[in-house]
Amino acid sequence: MTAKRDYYEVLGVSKTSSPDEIKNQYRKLALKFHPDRNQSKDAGEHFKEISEAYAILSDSEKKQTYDQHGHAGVDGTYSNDDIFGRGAAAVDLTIFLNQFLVAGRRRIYSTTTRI
Amino acid sequence: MTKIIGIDLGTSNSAAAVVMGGKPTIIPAAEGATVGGKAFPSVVAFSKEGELMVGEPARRQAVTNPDNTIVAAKRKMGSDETFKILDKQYKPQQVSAFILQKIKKDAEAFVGEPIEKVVITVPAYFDDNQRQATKDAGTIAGLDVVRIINEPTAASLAFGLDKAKQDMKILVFDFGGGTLDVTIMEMGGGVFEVLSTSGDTKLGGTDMDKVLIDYVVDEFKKKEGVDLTSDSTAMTRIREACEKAKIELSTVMETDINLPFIAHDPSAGAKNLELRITRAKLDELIGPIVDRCKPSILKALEDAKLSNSDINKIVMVGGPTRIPLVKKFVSEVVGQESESGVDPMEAVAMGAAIQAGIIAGDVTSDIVLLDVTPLTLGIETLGGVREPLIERNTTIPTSKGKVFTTAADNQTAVTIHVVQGERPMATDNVSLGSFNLTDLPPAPRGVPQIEVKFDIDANGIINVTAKDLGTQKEAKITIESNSKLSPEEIEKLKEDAEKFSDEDKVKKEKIDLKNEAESYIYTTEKLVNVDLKDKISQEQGIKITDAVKEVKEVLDKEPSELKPKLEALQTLVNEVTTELYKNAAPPPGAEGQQGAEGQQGAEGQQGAEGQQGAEGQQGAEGQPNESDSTDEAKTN
Repeated sequence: MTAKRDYYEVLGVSKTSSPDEIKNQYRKLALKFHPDRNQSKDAGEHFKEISEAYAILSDSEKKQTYDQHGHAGVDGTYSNDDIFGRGAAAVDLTIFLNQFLVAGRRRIYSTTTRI
Repeated sequence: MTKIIGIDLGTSNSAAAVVMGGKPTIIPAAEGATVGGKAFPSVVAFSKEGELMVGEPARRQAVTNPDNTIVAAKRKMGSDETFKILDKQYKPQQVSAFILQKIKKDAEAFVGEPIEKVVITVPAYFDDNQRQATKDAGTIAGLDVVRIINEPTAASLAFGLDKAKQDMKILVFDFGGGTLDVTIMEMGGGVFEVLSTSGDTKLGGTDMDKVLIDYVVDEFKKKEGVDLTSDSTAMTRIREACEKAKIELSTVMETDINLPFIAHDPSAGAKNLELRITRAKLDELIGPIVDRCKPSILKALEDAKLSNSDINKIVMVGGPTRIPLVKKFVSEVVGQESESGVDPMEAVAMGAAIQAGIIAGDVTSDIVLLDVTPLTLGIETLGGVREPLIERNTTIPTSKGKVFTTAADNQTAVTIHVVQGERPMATDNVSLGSFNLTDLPPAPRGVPQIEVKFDIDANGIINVTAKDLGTQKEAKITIESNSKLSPEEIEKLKEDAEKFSDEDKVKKEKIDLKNEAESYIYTTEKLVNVDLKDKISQEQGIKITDAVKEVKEVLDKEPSELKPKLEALQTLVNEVTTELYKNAAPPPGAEGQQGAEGQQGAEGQQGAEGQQGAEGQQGAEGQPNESDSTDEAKTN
């Protein structure tokens, strides 16, 4: 998984841009890259990136968290390190052991990186 | 550029529209406008002989054939329930496909070219199963569904197409036959952005019908001591009358339900149902249903982080929004009057047509629709807890990845149970199925890293892919789901549906041929008895008359019998009139005969095509025909 681009870069705005400026940029880019209007292969992925950036930068609380902590601050359950083993310290051992007692069910075990 | 049409596949009524000359136009149903306007009822029925009927013809015979008539199939989409008709089980996708097949036919007749690609609308609050079922219904009907679009969003397109540059926040209150959607949108700069959506897929006009029906049945029971609920014919009549009364009471203050001979009492004779319903009574009955709309309005506002005062316009969509009580209710909750000027019954189809036009490239304005997924997507984790992956109201298309691992040594498969909904425990949400990742290379537990990507496309439909990060190979995924159809099942249902459409085509050909034959017989008889009476020989006259008789004998038979007889008659008439024409043409240089009446060749057609009918007066009017002047004998 490639590193995520900076949201400000994605939208083509700066930290000091006003909410209206950010919204207008989003609209311009949406018109350009939405798959309905752009048939190129990468348009869809690019649009998702733009949407994600706007979702954070248009919400004052999330924007603040992002400004202070970057992607890690706002990513929530998404993480490269979201695997068993890494987060073991945060895992409740009882729960971990219990799941082997559940017969016949194959389940994924995942840890959530707590923010 | 092939046209893409937009289809509003509604619970109670369906309609289609297409962009022509840059403007969306409703495609009329073949049977013409009904009480509901240009939309046709979403009713499917089978006659006792197994003949399929769709739309108004199906609705019309519902009273006499209630057990084989299906209404509101949309309410079962996405579930594994089926309809039993004449010893066959039909899935809701199949029933919807019959409706879509009719739309395809009517659209092709209207537009004048084959229609393959469509945009179909669904309630914004439809979950993945319901959306997929809708898409499958299109495939079964032989259509390529290029987009599934949400109904309130479509309606907002119809409303805002000519206002796209203005900045405004609108609340779309879409209250239809079976579902309620409340969508809050922001328009501006050509971008129609959905901020939030909420709703109830089990709340609609049909619920209002039900309370009125219950009331009517109760009143009858009180008065006559008879319970009509087990009499399906009576109930169908009552249901129709109640729906009609409900609609009437939007414009009048009282109306009567009058159903003579509704029941037969062996001792007292036939009983009539006569009941006066006032608007006040209706309001009292439907009040609780209307109240149930409030939470969706409030939730949509809350999720959009807006208050009443932020809303600039309210757009009302759906038949029930014409009820005064509903209009009043929404105005009170949101604090302003709603817009008029958008036809609540046509807006969705029009909007779908606009979106179809955008995708087809027929709409040149800079417009784009940004919709959202209405329900939180999550997976089931330890203890049956639902872990959210993609929050509701996230703009689509969108995707989210997550890395999973195994819990046991040498575990070669991992199961991910995907759910959709807002409840914290997985089983309280809608199951989208179990996605099984198989053929994982054996390894100690916790070692494998499998990246699973959840993708929601522009239709709001979920796609799951997985990659084993160790081998960089795509992991194989199989889906177990109760309600989803496999590609093989869809193909089989599509073939079944084609058979019905073929039967339909054959029937139409037969009717068309019969019409052509009857018309030609009329023209021929007129020709022989009136126009050419003195011009053709007795022998010719008799030959023609005999040929006409032979056609008449097989008028109701199969085209394979009728066609040759008709063609024989046409050939014969052609011969006779050609000869007449040849004889009528005077030698070159002769004055005054040629074209004297201006008939000569003016219509120029041998009545041979049959449709030309009365024009077939090849040189017949007033032409002196020397060689034929001996034929006075009346030919009939």
